[in-house]
Amino acid sequence: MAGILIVDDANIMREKLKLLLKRNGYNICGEACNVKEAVEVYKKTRPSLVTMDISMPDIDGIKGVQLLKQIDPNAKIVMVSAMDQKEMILLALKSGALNFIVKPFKEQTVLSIISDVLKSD
Amino acid sequence: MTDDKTEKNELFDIFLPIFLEEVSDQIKGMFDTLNLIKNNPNDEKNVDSLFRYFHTLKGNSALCTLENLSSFTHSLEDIVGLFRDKKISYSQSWYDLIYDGIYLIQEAIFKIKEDFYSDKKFNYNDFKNKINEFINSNTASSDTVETFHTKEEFVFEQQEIEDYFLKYLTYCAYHATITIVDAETTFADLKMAAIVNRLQSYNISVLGTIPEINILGSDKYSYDIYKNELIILFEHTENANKSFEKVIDMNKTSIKSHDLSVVNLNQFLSGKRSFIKHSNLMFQIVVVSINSKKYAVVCKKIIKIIPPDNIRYFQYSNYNLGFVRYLDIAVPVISINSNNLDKILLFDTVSGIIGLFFDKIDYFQESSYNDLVLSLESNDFIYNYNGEDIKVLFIDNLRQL
Repeated sequence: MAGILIVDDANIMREKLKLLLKRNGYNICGEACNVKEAVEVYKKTRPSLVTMDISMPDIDGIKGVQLLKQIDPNAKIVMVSAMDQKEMILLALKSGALNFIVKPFKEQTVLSIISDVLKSD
Repeated sequence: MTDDKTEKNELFDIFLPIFLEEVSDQIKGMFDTLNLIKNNPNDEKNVDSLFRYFHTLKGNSALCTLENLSSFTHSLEDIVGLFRDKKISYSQSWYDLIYDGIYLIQEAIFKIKEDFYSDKKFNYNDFKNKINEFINSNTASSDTVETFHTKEEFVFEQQEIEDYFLKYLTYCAYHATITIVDAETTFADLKMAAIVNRLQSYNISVLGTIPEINILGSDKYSYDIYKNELIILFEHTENANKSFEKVIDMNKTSIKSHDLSVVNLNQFLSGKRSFIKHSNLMFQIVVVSINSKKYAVVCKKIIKIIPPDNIRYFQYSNYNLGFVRYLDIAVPVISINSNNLDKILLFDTVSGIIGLFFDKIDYFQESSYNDLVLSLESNDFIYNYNGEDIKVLFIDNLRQL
């Protein structure tokens, strides 16, 4: 059963998303704290959806989207960003991310967006 | 979903311990990186790294409901951001400010470890004032004159329409109107961009969008002007119809309502509108609400809407006039019955730029003098908006007030 891959350099943010998603019946198939790790986990687990932080050390989330899209053009990626990262969200959308969540987020918004994106083909 | 008790348990059992475990290393990282910057202010990698430290701490502390700490860290992130974006240059006073800021974070964390609720009482105000003073004295006004378009219309040349016909064997196109949910005022344009991108990813030819696609996500987009409505004009094929439904379905959370109709492209033929576009008598009518009352403002062009944080200098006179700094000139600002001093509409008039406090823009459109009627009772010009007679303000000369 494929699941969700959470990519975020902040441990606390990964925990927050993991708890929320697990509690609502989603399977977490992997976690990554940087893009390199995300690429490895993606290849191994082929998740149904990836949540991708934008601001990460070395390689940022936008490049992360581009790399995952190279591996799998159908990868479903939802960006997780801060309020003041509009330009970067736009770049991520242009690179192939399907939607975005803005921190601090409401749990219901996260769940609705993930449900919307998972339903898409 | 979580109830309050579970949320509180998660905060104290899971998130706060992670936060406190990591924060010492983060603070050490901040000090170390700041010193690396001191030795080589041109190394962008270190500046990015310092920015990210503050960015991460801002997010993590917000997640732990340490709102004061999060907001303070945000202001430090801003100063590092100004340096990263080359809006300020390196100086000893910049270094000192960041150093003292990190020191204050360290002190705040020390108190939070003893008493979680100390965040609410911790006083950052003096330091925040120092930050504001520093920004004001170290940055020039970097605004550039960017005028808003009149809310666009679709316009096509004859040749474009004929090319479309040859490709699709019809003059018809789909015309979709999508309203983004009200809660998305800050990110409505990005939600729109996500929708248009997705439609294009199915290889559907998008003939045009309102707002224009290059406005979405840029400084030119203003919720006050474009509201939360997106119009997309796209190819009239079965595949496009199906793809559109899919896009709507996968963005349901962001969409309040949508409507799809079929239009004939010939109605957007450029010649039909040229007499309007090139008329010298054109001006813009902007219908604004000020303290629940509507006014029609006549202007050459809307220039910008300034949020309160852009106000550098403001002072009332006896006549409710003030000045706002814009592009390093003092622009007169008028307040008419306004309680809400949050937003200023800057617009161009025949005698220069003028500002007006307003609550909401209801409508704006190119117009002509034919649309104005002189009321013989009040001697005012009246503009009819949605059946309502609205007083017209010609604020092109302060002596008129």
